[in-house]
Amino acid sequence: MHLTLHLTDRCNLACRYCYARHGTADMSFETAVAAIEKCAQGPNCGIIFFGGEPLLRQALIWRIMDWCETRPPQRFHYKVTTNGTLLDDAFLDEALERGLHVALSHDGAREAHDAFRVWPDGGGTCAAVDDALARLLRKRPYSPVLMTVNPEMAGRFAEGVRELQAKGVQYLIVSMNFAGPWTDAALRTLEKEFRKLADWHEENYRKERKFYFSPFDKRIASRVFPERSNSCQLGKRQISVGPDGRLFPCVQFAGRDEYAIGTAETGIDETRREEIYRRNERDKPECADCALERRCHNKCGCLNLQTTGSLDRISPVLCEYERLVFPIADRLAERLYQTRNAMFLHRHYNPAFPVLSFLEDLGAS
Amino acid sequence: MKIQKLPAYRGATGYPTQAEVQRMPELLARMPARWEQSSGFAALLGLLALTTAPRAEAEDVDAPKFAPVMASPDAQLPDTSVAQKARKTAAVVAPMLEEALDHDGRGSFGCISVCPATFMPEDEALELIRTELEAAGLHLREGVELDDVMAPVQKPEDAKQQSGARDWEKGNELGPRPVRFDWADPERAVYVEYLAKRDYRTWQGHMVSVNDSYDFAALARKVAEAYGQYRSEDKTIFGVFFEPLADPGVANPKLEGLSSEQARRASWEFERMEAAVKGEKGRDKLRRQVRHFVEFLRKEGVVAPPK
Repeated sequence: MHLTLHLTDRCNLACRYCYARHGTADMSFETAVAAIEKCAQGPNCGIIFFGGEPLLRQALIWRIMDWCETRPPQRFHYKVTTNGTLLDDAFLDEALERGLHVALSHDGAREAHDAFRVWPDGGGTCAAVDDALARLLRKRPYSPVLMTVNPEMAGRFAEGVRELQAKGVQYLIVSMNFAGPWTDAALRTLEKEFRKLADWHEENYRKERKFYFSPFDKRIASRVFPERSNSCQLGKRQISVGPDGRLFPCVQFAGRDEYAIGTAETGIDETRREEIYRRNERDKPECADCALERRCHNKCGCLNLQTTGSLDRISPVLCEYERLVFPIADRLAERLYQTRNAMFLHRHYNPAFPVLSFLEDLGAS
Repeated sequence: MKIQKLPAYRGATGYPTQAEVQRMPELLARMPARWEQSSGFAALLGLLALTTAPRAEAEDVDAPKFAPVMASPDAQLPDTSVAQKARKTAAVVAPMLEEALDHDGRGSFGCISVCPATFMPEDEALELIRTELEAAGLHLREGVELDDVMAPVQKPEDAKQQSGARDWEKGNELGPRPVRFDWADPERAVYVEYLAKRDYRTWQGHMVSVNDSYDFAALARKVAEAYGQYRSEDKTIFGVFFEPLADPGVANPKLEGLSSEQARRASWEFERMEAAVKGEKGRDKLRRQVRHFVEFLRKEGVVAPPK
């Protein structure tokens, strides 16, 4: 169970593709703890600090974490997702000491990043984020980096990924901006970029470089573990808490009244949550008999809402994208399997891989 | 852009699920080289071996496995006996050239064939392979045998099913046996096999018939899969090449208004030209298979990159 706390609607950037509503609301400490008390279920719970830009509320982050630590036997783990521009050494040191994981947004190549991730005056933020990235990776080399790919910059995708690797990134989560103006030509460009990246990632495995690249590794995992559901179980694994304490099934729903599933004070409206969950879980008729139906993201409520305005409809862009990426990812995995690549086999089939990998890092340090 | 179903997508069948790999634990026996080369890693694994030794002794040591060790409180640590067993590693079969698998190696002969493809002389094919591999830096020996390689022959009962079969090779059983390789560089543990017409008969349990059809690409896949089962103390690399069965691709010219002697000479010239074209196409296709393999050896660091 994860609880995403939208600490503020405010942000110090004005990213051009941002889906969030740019308000001024801040979450209070009382709202945060009320939401945790009402919603954090089970012995382990993840708290994700989100925004707006959550680092505008650093003091609140530490205060919430202090409070959580007074709640044993319940255990919490923490993550913050930031644009990086406020990430300084003092914050990083404290995050390291307290066990707060930091994920950073960076869109790869400078031109691609600066075209969208901008200061309020329109200037690009790449230089500032590069500094933050270097600081972060020095202290936590496996920190996840979140990259958004826009249709206008699809041709810079592979270059951006390689640049991030050169900067030391080892864990890259890629999201397409499906709400962007995708065209057939942009998708064909994207396909070419993915083919380049398949060769690049094959080389990563051959050279035994550790690099998690979500578009391929996640899809390979969907074949390796067919019993795992591709559903996010909307509203059950994660709940988003808006600054005013309203509860939503996921981050893209925050602020949309029609999808509210309770409040921090009253707790989760189980009837409403179940209703939205079941609606999202319903099989999509347009996907019936598709071989990728159990592997693709057709049940991501956030994506469907963002791209079609409805939970029930699939975006044609998403479908095109999945049909484009799966064959490339599967072919890559097939090549690596045929050559019995040890890094590939251990990463995807050895349940002890995280521990063995960690031991190797320990041994090297 | 549209929503479109993929009812016949089979792209994911080329690699196994985790449940399938659990039935093939030898796949995880070989560790990434960076782990094996890390002295710190080995020391930490050794420490784990000490702490888990009593349990390891109680377990069946012939069943190597990696137990799950995630965050679960009752999770087990990895069975480090595998680290010792890792000396025996699964072989690597070089990926074959995709364009060859897709387009070459298929042909039919006899009354069913309108335009039969051509077999390359086996000694010519072997010489071409030797030349290419030696140019890349391998030191080759002929006819080297490896014990316990799985020979991927077709069982007689399967062969019976083929249409037009009258007889089949007897005694072909899938199982480990010594295999004599066409070329090998034992120093580098590189072994190559060229699938020629007579191999097809031996390994595919091929029928003797007035109508012969061949699918060398399918046989090559089967051979590669079988060789992949081989385990040894060193990293062994297998290369599998196959008869390309080059399509002649030469149109038969119309010969009109010629005397019988002229027609005979023209026909003879045509056959000579056709044979030359077929031979060159076959050599070119086989050469591409071999160069693809050499490229793989370079990526693996077995041979040096070209100067």
